[in-house]
Amino acid sequence: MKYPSVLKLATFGVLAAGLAACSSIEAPTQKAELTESRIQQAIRDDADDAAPVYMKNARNKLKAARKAIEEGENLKADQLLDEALIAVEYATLKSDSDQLEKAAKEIQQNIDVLRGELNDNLPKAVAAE
Amino acid sequence: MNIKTSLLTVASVSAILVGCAGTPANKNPQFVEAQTRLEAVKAEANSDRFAALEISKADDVMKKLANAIEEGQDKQVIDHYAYMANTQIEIADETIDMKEAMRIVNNAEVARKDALLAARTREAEQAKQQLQDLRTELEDMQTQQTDRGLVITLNSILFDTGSANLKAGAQKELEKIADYLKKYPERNLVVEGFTDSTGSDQFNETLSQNRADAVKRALTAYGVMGNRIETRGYGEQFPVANNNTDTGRQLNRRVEVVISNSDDTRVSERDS
Repeated sequence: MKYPSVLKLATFGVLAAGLAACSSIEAPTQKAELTESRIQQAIRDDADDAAPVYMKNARNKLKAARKAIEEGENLKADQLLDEALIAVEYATLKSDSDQLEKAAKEIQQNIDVLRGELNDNLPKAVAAE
Repeated sequence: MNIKTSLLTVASVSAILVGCAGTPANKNPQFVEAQTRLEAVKAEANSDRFAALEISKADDVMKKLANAIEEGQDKQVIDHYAYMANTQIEIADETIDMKEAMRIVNNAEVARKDALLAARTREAEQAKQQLQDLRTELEDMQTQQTDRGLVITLNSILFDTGSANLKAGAQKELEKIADYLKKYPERNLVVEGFTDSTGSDQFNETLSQNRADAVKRALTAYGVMGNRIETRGYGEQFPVANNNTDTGRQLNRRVEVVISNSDDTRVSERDS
């Protein structure tokens, strides 16, 4: 290595300081964009109705993450974006799940009605044979 | 790396470890709460079949949360992993619900067919039971299921030749029919009398009508409502056997009781 050992030590010192301050990573701007697009998609999927609290969380965390990026708190921003992403993942899932559960409930009701009708009509059906 | 920096590194790492000794994860209420919730989700029916991946992810985040707690990391870091863990657990839980709903939607047609099949099976069992009842009730009697209804043929042994008076032995047979009819009070019936070709048409018609009426009287005497019973005398019409032999004539001298197939319907007219 061409650097003198003093410089090496200085580098190490900075690195250590960085570690102490919860280490340093690149600004997660791409992740912020991804989060934004996931939130927009979730809105189109009616996730606001299905999971309003999680959607609100996702928006607030994205907002806070952008502020953290501006302030150079990249790790904090990254964590906030992970939280926003998982919140929006839950909200989207909840929306899909609610729709399916509604469909399943209707089907179950239809089948129950069918069973009821079959039972009610049974004596006559047998008699008519 | 020279010895000096290596030593320095070791020293720094040690300092971090010593300075940040945390508590066991299972003493941390955030961890315990999430762990309890996760165990509940794992205990749900079909959890491993429907949400294996989501649960595995939750396990991973729980490990990160445990490590953060045990390393004595900042509250911000612990809160972060706790949020990730809790949300991942909710995702696992919701995935189980969604897959179950998906299963119901996908199986809708199967379930509909199952319901129909179950009904048909019950129908068949009831029909079988009904047939069994009939066999028990009407054993020794000649019965036949037709479009018009259940036909019970009472042969000439019930009557003396040329007479419309029931023999004593006929009572038992008619009592069985009456018992059966009392079990199905909404069924109507027709009592039809027939003779062989011996004698005049007029005589035979009257005799067959009188025999049918005698059967009706006997049935009403056993408690069957008279308004359910129609009688008809067909004389020598509709023979069931050849009138040129003794056996054939005996078969033709008969009374048939036709019981409607369904409630509140009249037995249709004979056309053959």
